[in-house]
Amino acid sequence: MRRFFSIFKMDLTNLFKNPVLVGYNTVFAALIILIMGFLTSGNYADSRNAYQYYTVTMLVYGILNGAMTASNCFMERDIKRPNLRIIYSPAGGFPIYFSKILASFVFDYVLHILLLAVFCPLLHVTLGSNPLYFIALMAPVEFAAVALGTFFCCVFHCEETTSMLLSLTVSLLCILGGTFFSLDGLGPALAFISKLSPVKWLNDAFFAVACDNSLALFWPVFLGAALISALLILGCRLFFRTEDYL
Amino acid sequence: MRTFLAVFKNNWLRTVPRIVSLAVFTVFTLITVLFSVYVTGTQQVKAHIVFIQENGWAAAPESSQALDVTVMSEKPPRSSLVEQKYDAYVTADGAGNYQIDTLRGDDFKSMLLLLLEDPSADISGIQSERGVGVNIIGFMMMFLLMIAFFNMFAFADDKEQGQLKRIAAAPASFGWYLAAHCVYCLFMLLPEYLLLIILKLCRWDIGFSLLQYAYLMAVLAFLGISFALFLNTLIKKPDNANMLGNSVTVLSSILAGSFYSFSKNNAVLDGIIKVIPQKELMRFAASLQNGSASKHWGSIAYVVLFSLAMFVFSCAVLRRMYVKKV
Repeated sequence: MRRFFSIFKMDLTNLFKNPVLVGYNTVFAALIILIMGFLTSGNYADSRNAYQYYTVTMLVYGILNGAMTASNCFMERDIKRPNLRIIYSPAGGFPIYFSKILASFVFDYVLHILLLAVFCPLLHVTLGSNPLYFIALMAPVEFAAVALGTFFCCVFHCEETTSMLLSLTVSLLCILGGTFFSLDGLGPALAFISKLSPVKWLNDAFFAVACDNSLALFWPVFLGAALISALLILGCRLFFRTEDYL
Repeated sequence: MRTFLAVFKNNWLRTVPRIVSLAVFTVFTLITVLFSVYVTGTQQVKAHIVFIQENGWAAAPESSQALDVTVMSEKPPRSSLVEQKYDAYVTADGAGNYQIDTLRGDDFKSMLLLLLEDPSADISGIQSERGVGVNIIGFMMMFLLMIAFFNMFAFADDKEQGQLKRIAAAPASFGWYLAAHCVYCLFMLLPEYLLLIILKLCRWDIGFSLLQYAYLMAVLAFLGISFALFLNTLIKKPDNANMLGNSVTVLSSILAGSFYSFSKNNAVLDGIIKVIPQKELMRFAASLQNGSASKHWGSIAYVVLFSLAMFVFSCAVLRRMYVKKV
């Protein structure tokens, strides 16, 4: 446990020391919410609703992009060699990928909660009567996204391929899921395609919690994401081979 | 001329290892073009509303071309309004007066009332419609600019790795060298143009004629190339230049209203938007669609002059940096 903890601590400090990742999860996310919200505020009588829309959808986008945080944390050029040293140490293979998953999860989760804590009072965005539900719902989704990034790294053994594949998939699913603009108003065919995107389901669940105080979608998403996380960690176990580092 | 051919051929060879990213980019652009054609075709529906039949007797208004009505017995959750799944919830009282519950503005409310009372009401004056051609150009704009940027990789690499110094010193023409890069960038836009030709041959409505598209795209490409050259000249690292260029392109294209036209009565923002060349290009495309292009040559001239200024500036700086010093 102590061995695991020291690796975990190192990974976490590494993440917080990376200005690009910190900036991406805070400043960039904030800017894009502000800009998109401002530009589309003409669609609503009350501009608060535009910010509400983009705070929720961009948060989901940010959560899913946590996969890139994980792949960066796991397989960056400077980290690959230390990983090799850990393999030789008595800590074994499991702490390597699991500490990356946990560190990326904590990193993303903390920054996203910070973002919400600053933005919600500032833009009068509501997270529902009890914001704890909203924040609790974020946790398993963040974890699943991060585990997905790590799993892809275990399968492809390369950060660039993972990042490219994942960012493309995530962006595509997000566009279809209505992250940047709602597809529901653009005809029945697109509305149907939109329904197929998992991002749409996530958005629906978060919107239901935030706007309707309804927990109807809370448990399905919560348990589904938790299940996917467990499966992905199992997948990491299967695909993580120490020989790949030699 | 020999320099031109050699560099041109070399650029193609250097593209091969990057073919995947380029293909992804191009496919994305092609999909957006198709998407824009599709969206324009289905934009007639002005509002998706839910009619709530509380007491069961109020007759629901009929769906029409402009109005998409869903009848429900109770109100859907409010999040559907925020998500823009529906634009408004409508209820009727005994006297046939409609109550509208919407998050959208008063303009929309009055338009909806008009439509509810008379489904065939003429509302074309309330919202100006963008034609398919303007939409295609608008949607393509950001991607074309980014592709032009991407295709300057050869020049950026040459500059970063110091090849440019050798080229400047060699018995090769510097002008032809730059020309080769530019022509290469232009060539890379051919897939998009081919798609437009195919659409035209399949008798789809694409708004403008192929000649009009040719010069609109050429102007766009020129803008992208000059901008890429400009940033790559000023910034040493291609990675940084690329990132800055892409973010500027995305932001300015969105602000210029290439996807969506915004009207914000904000003096500062309006001032910024006025300077953006993409905005003028959109204005020119809109006037081309309305048939009043001859009055708006100034707009396209502005774009060309803007690009020319960046291009000439970069050439001058490059000349000072390399040709004269070596």
